[in-house]
Amino acid sequence: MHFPPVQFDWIAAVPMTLLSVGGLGVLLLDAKGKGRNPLVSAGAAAAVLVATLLWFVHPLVPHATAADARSFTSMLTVDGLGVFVTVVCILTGLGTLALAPSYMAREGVKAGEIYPLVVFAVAGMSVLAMGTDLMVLFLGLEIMSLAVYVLAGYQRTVDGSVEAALKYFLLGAFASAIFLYGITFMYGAAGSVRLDLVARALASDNPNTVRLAQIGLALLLAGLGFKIAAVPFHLWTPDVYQGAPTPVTAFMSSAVKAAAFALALRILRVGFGAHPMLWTEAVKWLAIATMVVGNLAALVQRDLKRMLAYSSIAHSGYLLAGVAAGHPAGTSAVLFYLAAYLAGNLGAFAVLVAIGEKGDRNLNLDDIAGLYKTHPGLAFALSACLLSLAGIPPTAGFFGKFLVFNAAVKAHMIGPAVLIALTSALSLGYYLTVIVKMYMAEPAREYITEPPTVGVRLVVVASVASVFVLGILPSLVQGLAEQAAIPLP
Amino acid sequence: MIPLAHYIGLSAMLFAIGAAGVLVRRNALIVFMSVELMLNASHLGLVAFSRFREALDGQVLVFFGMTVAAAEVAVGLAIIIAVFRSRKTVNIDELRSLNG
Repeated sequence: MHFPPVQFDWIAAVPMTLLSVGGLGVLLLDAKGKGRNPLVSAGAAAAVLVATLLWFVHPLVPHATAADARSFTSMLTVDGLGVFVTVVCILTGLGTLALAPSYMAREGVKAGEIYPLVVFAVAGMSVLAMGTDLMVLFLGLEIMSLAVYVLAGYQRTVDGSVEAALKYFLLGAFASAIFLYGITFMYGAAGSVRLDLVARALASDNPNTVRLAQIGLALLLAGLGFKIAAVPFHLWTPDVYQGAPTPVTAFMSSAVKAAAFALALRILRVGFGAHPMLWTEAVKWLAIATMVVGNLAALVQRDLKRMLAYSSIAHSGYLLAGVAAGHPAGTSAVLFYLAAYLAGNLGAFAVLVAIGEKGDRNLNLDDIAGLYKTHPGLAFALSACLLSLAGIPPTAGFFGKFLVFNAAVKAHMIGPAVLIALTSALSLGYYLTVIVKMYMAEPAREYITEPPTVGVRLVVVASVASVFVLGILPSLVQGLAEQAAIPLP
Repeated sequence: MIPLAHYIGLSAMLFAIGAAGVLVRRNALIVFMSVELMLNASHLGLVAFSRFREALDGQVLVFFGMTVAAAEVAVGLAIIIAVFRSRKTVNIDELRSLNG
């Protein structure tokens, strides 16, 4: 009997291996050193993330421009999209690790598992960003989600936190089940769950294949809609974002969103890139509904975390418009937007960590009145981040929205393009309210907040700096985003 | 031989029952059980397609699905227990501490 030689090419699996093994190491370190300074675990976890980051810039690593590295018969690919999104997720992970120790100390949470869990979640995200096989993507989705469910319920004696975890878990598991059923139909349609083979099967235009693939794609899109919090699948988002610990909310809203959009781009471009008529309309309407509902609901929120949750839904809408706008302008716009959104969003949550009091009180619209008088630096940082989220020049958010708008116009999607502009103007309503409260109103009461720790300061400064750097010199990241987008089919 | 459509029909029915359970039932444990039913519907579909195509990879995919389902049970039950400890109920409608 003759077996063809099997080539085990591990190179594309190096990032997730580094992250998973490193995460286990951090877990062991934490188990051995009970009661030790949490900064040790946080530092170890950060070291794992930085090591993975360094692997990407190592000269031996094949880059997007060269032939892509593939592993496990093309189930994993180190390409531009994968590297770009993984780096975004790792940076968010680092920010979360910097915010978590002071938040957990304030809330009196002793357990240190949050640090390995963040690393495991990033490992799942790297699989999501680099997988090119639906089952591998599903595994990545679950590795990420299971870690994040636990993170959301991390304060397990606090009602809000466990409630958020339960809601996130039940709806997340529901979405995963829908997604898996979609995979089943893709397998039925194509006889394989590898995205390039799905695309090849679709090219045959066999009516049975196309019909099964349509059912599969609809289910996959519904599952994805939950993960990226697109309307009408967004109902869990405000509760979960409000109840989860603030650093975890920052992580969920930036990194999980980035990874889920990598998943969406991968499925729609690699699997269905040649058949845009199967999904463009659906994604366009999702985008429209998400932009409108997210922004309108954010207008009436009083709780800042909840307000940022609806703002995060609204941003999913802009990103979906970029996805629908097609290739390559829409794809690269989405990637740039994810980086810009990360900067503004992480910074805003970092300020919320800094000004919150025990039990996450003090995060209401009235509580931040007059913040400028007591904490001018934090007030400025929050203003810069919110202006970036609103899309005001010269911030990163402006350029991100500009790119998405441009791509939509180029794709002759005038309706969504107009809505991007209109809803952005609407979003000023709630972002500016916060800024006006901070600068114009008198402090409602004495602030007893302790001065922010070094980690929190670092995240705030880095975020504000990136907001302005990306806004003034967008070409730095835009070039990378374009490089990452163009090789996709 | 039973035709493929019967298997897929049964799988679709299981999926629909599971989805209805998630949407209608209020006990977190029953909701979770319904999610498991939906996963099993996918598994049945994968095995049926795999048999129909006379290829093994669909059956291999089921192993991954089962592993994921097991991991979900571990995390999910832990979360449900944590909720029960702090709230003394697992009825979703009674969990309303978060709203704005």
